[in-house]
Amino acid sequence: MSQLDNRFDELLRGQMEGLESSVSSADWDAIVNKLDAVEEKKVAPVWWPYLAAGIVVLVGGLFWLLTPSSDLDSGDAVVNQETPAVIETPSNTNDSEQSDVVENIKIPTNEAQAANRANQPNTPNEGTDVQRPEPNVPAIPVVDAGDVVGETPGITTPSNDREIASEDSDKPDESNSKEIAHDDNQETANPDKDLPTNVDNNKPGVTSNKDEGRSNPGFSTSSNGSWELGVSFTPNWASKIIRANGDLAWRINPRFDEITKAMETGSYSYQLNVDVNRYFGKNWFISSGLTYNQVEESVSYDYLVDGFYDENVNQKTLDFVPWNPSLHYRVNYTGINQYRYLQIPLQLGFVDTLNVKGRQFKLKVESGVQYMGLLGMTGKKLGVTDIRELEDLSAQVDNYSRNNIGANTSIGLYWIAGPRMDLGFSGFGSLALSSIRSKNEAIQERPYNTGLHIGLNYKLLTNKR
Amino acid sequence: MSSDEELVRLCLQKDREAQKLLFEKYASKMMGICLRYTSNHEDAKDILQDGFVKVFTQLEKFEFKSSLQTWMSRIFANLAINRVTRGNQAKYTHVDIDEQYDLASETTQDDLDRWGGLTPQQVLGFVKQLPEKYRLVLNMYAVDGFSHQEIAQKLNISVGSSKSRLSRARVMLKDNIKKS
Repeated sequence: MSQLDNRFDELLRGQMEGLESSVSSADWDAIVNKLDAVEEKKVAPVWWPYLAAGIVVLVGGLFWLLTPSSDLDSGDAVVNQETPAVIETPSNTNDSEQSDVVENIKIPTNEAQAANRANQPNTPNEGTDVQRPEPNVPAIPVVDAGDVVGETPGITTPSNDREIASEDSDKPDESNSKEIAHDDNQETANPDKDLPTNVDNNKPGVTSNKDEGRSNPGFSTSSNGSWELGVSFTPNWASKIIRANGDLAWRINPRFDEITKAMETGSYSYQLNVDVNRYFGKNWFISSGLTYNQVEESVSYDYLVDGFYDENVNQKTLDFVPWNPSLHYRVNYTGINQYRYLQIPLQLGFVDTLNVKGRQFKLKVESGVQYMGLLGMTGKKLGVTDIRELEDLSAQVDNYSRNNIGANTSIGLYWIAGPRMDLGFSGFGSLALSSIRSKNEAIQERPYNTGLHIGLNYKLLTNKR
Repeated sequence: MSSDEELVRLCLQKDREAQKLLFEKYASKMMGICLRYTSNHEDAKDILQDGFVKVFTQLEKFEFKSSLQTWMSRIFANLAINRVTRGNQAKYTHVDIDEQYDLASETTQDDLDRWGGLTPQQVLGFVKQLPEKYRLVLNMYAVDGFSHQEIAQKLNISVGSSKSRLSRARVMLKDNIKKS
């Protein structure tokens, strides 16, 4: 091309760049209408804050319902109403009042006796029909052991919580109670519920702790009020759910799905957890803490690009434009992508104790939500629209959502290795509820993990009443 | 008049007044681009409207590495090219016999003198007389700065065809001016 041709082009460019043409206000009105339509579509319902709020309300409600008041265990009262035994509760447990207790005891009916026997695993007189004990015989107040354990000599509560039982080591019959608890665990898995602490005030001759304005000192066979601090390391397999963002789905390269499924082969994640559990009620607890989650994704891209997709904004399509074979482009990359999250879980859990051949285990079920903060990521990943060049993830971090929310659930079995320690496994699954990709991305990507959690929990604090 | 930075910041906050200011500031220039690529005013208006929608919805991608006008011009040019070529791929991928060689059509000083005396509107009139496939390449290469490689990719033609069409467009323009 000659210099005059260049000059010709420069002249043309100068004249065309100066070209202007008036527009009308109708054009602006049309643009506003189109913008409104686009923005309406973009405002997708943000549902996860409502889910999170609902869970918080649920957890709060359960906490309120299940946390016993300082002087009344409503759960025990319900059980008591179903129990025909109407043996009065000793108002105090010191020796001077023991005789009064004995005097006020009523002989239960045969049915009531049978029921009481079933509910009195640690009664020394078990197996006999005699329910009227002699003064100072430890069997008498056992009927109401739930109220007086820890204060009345000879009265123990067979706990299904070995940790707590061991902390009541000043009780004279502790060793006995443990034995009984182990032997009779099947029948007295939850002896506290079977022991009356509050009885119907309308029944003549029946008193309750509440009536006497007495609290339940030492009644803590559950882990109520205790805290646990757990540390665990969790390797697990991870996968992902990918689907289109409804508004922008048309922008996804039709080959994206095919390439992703075939060449983003698998992921593994490693979680380091510090959990704090607070128990309330007998079996329930809430849990929170910090989790460092590192997800490593194996990718092995190898494909040929033989054209490009061009945006047709008006018709919301990507039009394929094939390339001359000399322009074909091969993408070949194998590597590991790494995503790092800091997570804050909020869990609601249920725990119960199992006794297997003299060893105690905790069966623990947890479910909840977690905040997932994206700390960073490295590696290369397939672009949604342009598949010729892989995206550098570390440069793309601002296009990913920094703040996400996920849900998880787990069920595990832990061996109670000591008064404050348990060790075990749990199977779990977790799912990102919000897409880790930007809202403006055409795809939504929600990784989920399934795995086996190896946990070692150590209880630092116990708040026993 | 607000600076572009301020306008962009307000537009990102979906401020309609700022969006209108930005429209008023650049609409006539962008309309000029639309008119260069289209053969009629209605098509140009459609592209203008869609172009501003795209500008406002993708403004977060603008990083001030170039001027706002340059960035917007590229958006409007791409949009216009896509619109013009949409559904006409067969027309653009067709290889004419006369595209197999570059026409020997050196520009002369007389051509430049005649060309330099025209107003932009007159030039536009001559450009619009060109067949679409030549007008497209002329606009892309000479005005909007696309390389022959980019033109070839966008129009699904060879680089040689792109060069041939550009050369032919120049010849046609010069002929039309001489005849006028």
